[in-house]
Amino acid sequence: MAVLEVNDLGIRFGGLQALEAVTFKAEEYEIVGLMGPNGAGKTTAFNCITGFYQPSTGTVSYRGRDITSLRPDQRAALGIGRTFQQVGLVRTMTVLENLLTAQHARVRYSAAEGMFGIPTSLVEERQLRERALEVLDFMGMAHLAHTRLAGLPYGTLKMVEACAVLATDPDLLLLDEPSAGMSPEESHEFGELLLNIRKQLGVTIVMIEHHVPMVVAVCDYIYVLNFGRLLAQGLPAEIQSHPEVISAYFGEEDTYGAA
Amino acid sequence: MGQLISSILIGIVTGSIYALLALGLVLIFKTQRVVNFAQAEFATMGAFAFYILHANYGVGYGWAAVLAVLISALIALVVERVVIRPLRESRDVTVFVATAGVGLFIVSMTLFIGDANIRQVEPIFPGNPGITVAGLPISYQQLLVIGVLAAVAALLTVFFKLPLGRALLAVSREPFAVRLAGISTSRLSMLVWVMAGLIAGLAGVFFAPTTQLTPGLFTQAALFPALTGAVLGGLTSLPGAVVGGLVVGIVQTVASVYLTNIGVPGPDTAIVFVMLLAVLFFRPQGLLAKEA
Amino acid sequence: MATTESAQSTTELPVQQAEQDAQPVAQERFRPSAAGWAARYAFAAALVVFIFLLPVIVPDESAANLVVTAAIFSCVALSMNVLTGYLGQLSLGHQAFFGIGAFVAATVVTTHQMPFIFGVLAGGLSGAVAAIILGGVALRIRGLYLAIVTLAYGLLAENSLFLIRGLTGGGAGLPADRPAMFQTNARFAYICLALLALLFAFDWRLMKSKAGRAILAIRDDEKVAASFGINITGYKLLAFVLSGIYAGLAGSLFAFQLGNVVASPFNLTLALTFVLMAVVGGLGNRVGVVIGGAFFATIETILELVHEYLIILPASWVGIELGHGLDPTLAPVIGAALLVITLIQFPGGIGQQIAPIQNWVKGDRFDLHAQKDASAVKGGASVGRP
Repeated sequence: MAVLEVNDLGIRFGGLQALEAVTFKAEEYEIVGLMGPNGAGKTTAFNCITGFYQPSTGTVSYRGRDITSLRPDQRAALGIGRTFQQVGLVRTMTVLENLLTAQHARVRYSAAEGMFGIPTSLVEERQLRERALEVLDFMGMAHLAHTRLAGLPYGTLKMVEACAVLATDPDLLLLDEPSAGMSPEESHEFGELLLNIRKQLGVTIVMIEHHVPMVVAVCDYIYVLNFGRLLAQGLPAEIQSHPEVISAYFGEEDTYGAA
Repeated sequence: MGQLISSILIGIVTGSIYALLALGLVLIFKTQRVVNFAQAEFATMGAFAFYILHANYGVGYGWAAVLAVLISALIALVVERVVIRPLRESRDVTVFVATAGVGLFIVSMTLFIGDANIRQVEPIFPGNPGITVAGLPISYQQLLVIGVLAAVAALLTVFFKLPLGRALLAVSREPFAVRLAGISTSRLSMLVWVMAGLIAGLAGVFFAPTTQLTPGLFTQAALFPALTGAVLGGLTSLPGAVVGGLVVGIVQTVASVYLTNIGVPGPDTAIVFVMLLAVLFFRPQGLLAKEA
Repeated sequence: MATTESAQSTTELPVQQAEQDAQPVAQERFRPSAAGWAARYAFAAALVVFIFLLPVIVPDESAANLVVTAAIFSCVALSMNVLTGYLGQLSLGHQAFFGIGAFVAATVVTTHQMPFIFGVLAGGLSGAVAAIILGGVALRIRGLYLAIVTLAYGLLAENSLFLIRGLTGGGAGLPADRPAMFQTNARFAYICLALLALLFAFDWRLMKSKAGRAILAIRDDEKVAASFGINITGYKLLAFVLSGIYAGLAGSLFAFQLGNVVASPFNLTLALTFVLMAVVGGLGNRVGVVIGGAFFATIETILELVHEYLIILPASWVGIELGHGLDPTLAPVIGAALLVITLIQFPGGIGQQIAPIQNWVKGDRFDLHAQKDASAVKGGASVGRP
């Protein structure tokens, strides 16, 4: 069964049909790309998958289980990790604290046990910290552990967000424009990193991306949205030469640049 | 029935005060997204200024009234420059707390410089004549308050048709565009606060004679109902402020009678509390505004 | 990296290649020497000892009563800090929880003739109940509108709830007698200080656990918090409940301090004072708000002392005779002015000002320009979301 299945997803905002009859899926260990011009509904789809929006039609299933009515934090607890376009972190905390907080769903001790300082909670806190530092080390960010987020550059924040989401040991990773603001070289490195993460951690990834070269290099399968509907789907090579996809992107020269 | 009519009439009088304060609240909120906790104290200051000028220094009634209203406006302007402007980048809740600090400052300053004694402000008509409605005496002073509301509402309606008024409305929707057009948002901000101060001053000068003047009078008696009236009408709607204030006044007075009869303590506050929750739960944008 | 004992992950994370750009060398955190640690511990210990000796070193009963008030208000400051500092929700009606705690404690002890400890616990519980009702409202209404609702809530308590004859004894008030062993202010002060210490320690543990982090995350950005797996509703309500418990417990001790509980102290001015304590103390900073609480509880005395020793006394040395006695109504004027000044100019409040000392005690170098240790608890001048 697919890790993620989105079936006939539709959602209206007032008079605007933001998504209609959108169906796509991600199989185990796939890296799936979600593309489309700005305003196509990609982030809206993500918001439906993670539970911030309730779709008017359709279902979202995770490993065969219908999660359409679950709250966002419940879905996160199942192992669905997500990054945000505007970097989803707690700005007033330090890098390390963000990683600790991000692991919230993984924490086994109850809130009460933590508040009263029950020994098992203390042990687990130490473990959380160790894991957080491990991840930071892995990503080369350990020196920033005790720095507050305010004032850090955008690129660094995106890396911190990546650390935070990795620390949760996710099963399904939803990345919203992860390479935004990166240079072509950085983007290429990031693509390598994604492949590495997929291999080492055994995650399934669904990625909203504009950077075509990276998408083509990294993704196993691509879905293209336009005006809230599915425009095309297929292997990267097919999508690259798909006439409708090209015309949908017409005028967006910065996204359809040469590899 | 008679009691109902007289209650409604009293309700319109107190509602007029709530409406006047609400107009100031909405004016500031509409243009700056700031809820001015000190709005009621501007009114109290107007009343005190009037009292000091007229009763202590013997200034003529008319002149004292005019000066008192101007003093209210001046206090409002000072608050805008000293407190509001430095906080223009802060969150709305932060500024709200700051205005609460200002309100507290004004009340405690009044107590510090003066005392807690009750003062009686002299009504405009000597001897305080009035009419009787269904056995309840209503003074001309109280009816005058309703008249002041009507006058202020009319003046504001005219004002917002003028270019300056339209610029003010524009700044509430599109502050950046207004700056680009060469209009100083800083001056518009001062203008708004001066207007709010003037309106509050009028409320203070005309309402104070109908009751006893004490420090913090308007904050005690009218701030919360005025806030509720503003929310009820819609915090971004000036006509809503008038409607909301009046509705709160009327419902409060009428319901209070009933609630007192069944032994509910503090009925004035309780009924307004219920109204506030009802608005926020069922129609948060208020009756006349489009969005919350 | 080798795998750790942690059961979180059993996969091996490969070592990341160093990036092209030189990365700054990981800063070695400053570690004080043994003597340095000794100095720090001595300082902290001396401070704690001093606070706990206060009830005995103060000259008389009325001074001991000040210690009582300071301790109780500091507990309320901690309560405000949970709601306004950690959760970021302004509370303009906090006197409601405080007052309910007081009335319930008095009722339990006097009307139902139960022991003191039950009175206190009942007070805490009632504070929690009152807070959770407001918390329920907070799930639907937010921001500025919720702030107005808190104002309304406090006014409702002051004008209606606390005047219900059956609940609160009407005009005469409800008596609340201290237990025999704690009749004197000095001894009662120890109970209050004990509560303060308890709440302080609990609060410290709270913020070191996932619950504290969850609350802070909610304040910052609910969407992000939810994506971290935080149950927004649950933790919001938790913050309200904890705030209510702290305030209810403090309120119950207040009842016993007064000896007779009437409705009049629980007014808007008190609510604003509570806000003052938390904001001027430093939102999000536990030590700061406790200082804020103690300061505003004793401000009149402080002003008196300042007046006596810094104005009248030196004046008399140069032959100027000034009248004694400072107008106590000056206190709220100064308080309000401090609130506004803090918001505009000194965002972190007292907490920010003592940050160098706090950081030093925790093991950093003494640095006059230190920010409060780069940690989560940073409310700053912004009430509500930063």
